[in-house]
Amino acid sequence: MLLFRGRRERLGTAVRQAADTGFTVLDRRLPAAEAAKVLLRKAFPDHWSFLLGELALYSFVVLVLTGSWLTLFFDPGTREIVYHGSYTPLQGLPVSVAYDSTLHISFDVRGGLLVRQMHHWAALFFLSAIGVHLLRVFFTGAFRRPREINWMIGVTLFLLALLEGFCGYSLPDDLLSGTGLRTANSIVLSIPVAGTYLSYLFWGGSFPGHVLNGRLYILHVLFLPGALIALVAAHLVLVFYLKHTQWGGPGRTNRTVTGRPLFPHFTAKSTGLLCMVAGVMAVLGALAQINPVWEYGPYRADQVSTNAQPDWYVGFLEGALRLMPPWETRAAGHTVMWNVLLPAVVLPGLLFTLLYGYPVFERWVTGERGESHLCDRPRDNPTRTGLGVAAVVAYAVLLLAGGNDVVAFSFHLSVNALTWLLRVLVVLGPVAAFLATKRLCLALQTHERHVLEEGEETGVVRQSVYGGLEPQRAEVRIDRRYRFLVRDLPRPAPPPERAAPRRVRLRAALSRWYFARREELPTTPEQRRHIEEALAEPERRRS
Amino acid sequence: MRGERNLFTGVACFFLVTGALYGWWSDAEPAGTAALTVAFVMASVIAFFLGLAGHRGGERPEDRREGDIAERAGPVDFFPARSPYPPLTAVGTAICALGVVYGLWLFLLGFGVLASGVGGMCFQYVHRGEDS
Repeated sequence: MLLFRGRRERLGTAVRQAADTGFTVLDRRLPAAEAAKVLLRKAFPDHWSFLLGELALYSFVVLVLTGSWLTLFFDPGTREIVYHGSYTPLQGLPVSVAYDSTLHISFDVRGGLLVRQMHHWAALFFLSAIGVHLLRVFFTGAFRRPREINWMIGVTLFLLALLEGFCGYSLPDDLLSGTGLRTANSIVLSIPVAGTYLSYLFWGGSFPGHVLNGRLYILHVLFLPGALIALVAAHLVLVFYLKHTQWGGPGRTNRTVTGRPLFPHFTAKSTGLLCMVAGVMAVLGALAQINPVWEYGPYRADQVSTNAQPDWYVGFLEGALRLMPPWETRAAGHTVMWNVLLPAVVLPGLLFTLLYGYPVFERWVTGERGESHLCDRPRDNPTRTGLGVAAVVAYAVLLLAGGNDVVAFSFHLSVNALTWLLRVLVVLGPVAAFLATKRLCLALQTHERHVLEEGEETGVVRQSVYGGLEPQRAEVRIDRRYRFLVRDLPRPAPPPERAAPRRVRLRAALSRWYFARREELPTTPEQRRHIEEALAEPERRRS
Repeated sequence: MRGERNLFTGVACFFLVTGALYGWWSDAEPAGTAALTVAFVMASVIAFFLGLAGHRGGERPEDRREGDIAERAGPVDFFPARSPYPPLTAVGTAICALGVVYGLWLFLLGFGVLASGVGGMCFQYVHRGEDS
């Protein structure tokens, strides 16, 4: 034992010396010490809701790695050849080079199917993680000053990820993705006046043509990933520079950022998360079949398969297309296809305009305020939360409508009745969701006031000498009381004068709509002083 | 808990008799027989639990004829003040039942919801009284 211990100590000393020397060598040539001083002790949040963005990041890492591997074998050509691979049902069928190489990857390249399926699963997961991360940031108000620009970068990432996903989905040139491109083609054609020219430009002639797949391939493996990587880097640099937001709590105020240091806590945790994401993707890729293009067959412009659904993140557009009534207008020798233009061009345009513009809009309504580094609890801003939930409900109805044929088939319903039900729901659902959510948020605030006034129910029930049953109550725990009381509620704008311009009156009305309803919580003067301190704005950093 | 136990034993006996007669006269019609059998089993479980609890907890003032209300004063027991898990369990059960009708995929989804509801009910107050 003693002998071994001596050897271990000698080994330890040697390792330490090697590390010292290595660091000196690096530091003489690179800004290693400066970087380490800033980076290693940098605080990172440890609440689970802050890991959602990391999930997106790590699934993107998996996407880049698996995607790079797939480029070694994939050929996006549209030249027609005869299939002679090892999948017998398709033997001798005329297929495109792209479809042939997808089958080649799936059946003849070692590990090809696994990596292909991992890539597809990771893409679905990437978009889901982005969506959930976006919702987290929205509902906690983490987009407020100074993070508006980072929000916009994030929305751009979302948009690019959608495009990237659609391009990748279209590449194998199978019957399903070809149907998707046919839809995309009609969407482009629906743009008034410019549509036919744009379609001619993208497809290099009439649909399907031979140039689009090559263009999509370059977009998918070069331009979009390049833009994604650059914007992800900018996103992270801004998170570094602006610091993360945090939930309020003792010691966590608007001026002090707390968290775990980058090294070793955050590094260990985050590496673990990366490994878990990669592992889950590998397990899904190995066990769960996805996009079996050999079952769909090669694309032919005169064929459509039933039960054709896009990947889930494009499903809301598909749903909007299916719900839209068949409206058309003929004017001056042109046909305006409202049935495609509104759901597939105007709707996504509106969605992204709202996403980009929301922080600016809310700031305009709120009026001039300082920086916000503490997360809002969704219940403390009922109108914003209500709007968010309304948007989620509208999205969910559209997504459901994207599978209306499958839903009708599975539940033995009439597809027409279902479509009409969803048409009504997509209009009324969000309104009902908004009202219910706002009401619920206020109810939660009321509950907190009750808890503060009467104490928390411990669950122990006591019986009095008269036989009455009463819950036992206890003092609210300090961290809970802090969470209830430290909240940053803007005051509604004062009512404007009669002669005020319409813009000012509109702003005042919106401000009242946002901030007038609230539950006042009982506070002592000392608590009010503490709250004010916790919410005080940080001082500007002098450079 | 003798009174409560006897009450539920009576209920169980009622369902046993009606179930047996119903099964006899209806040639074991599946739906009704199953419902009455399940009702019998559930009543028996409650009766068994009450008997066991009475055995463990000993005699209470309300078990005695001359017991006073004031004797009962003091802490009764722990009852969770509020919990989201019973409704979640109910939703899970409903989805599972729909899954039996419409397909395995829905049943599995429902099973996930049901499992989280049951898990939550079991473990929500596991650490009660350990800190603070």
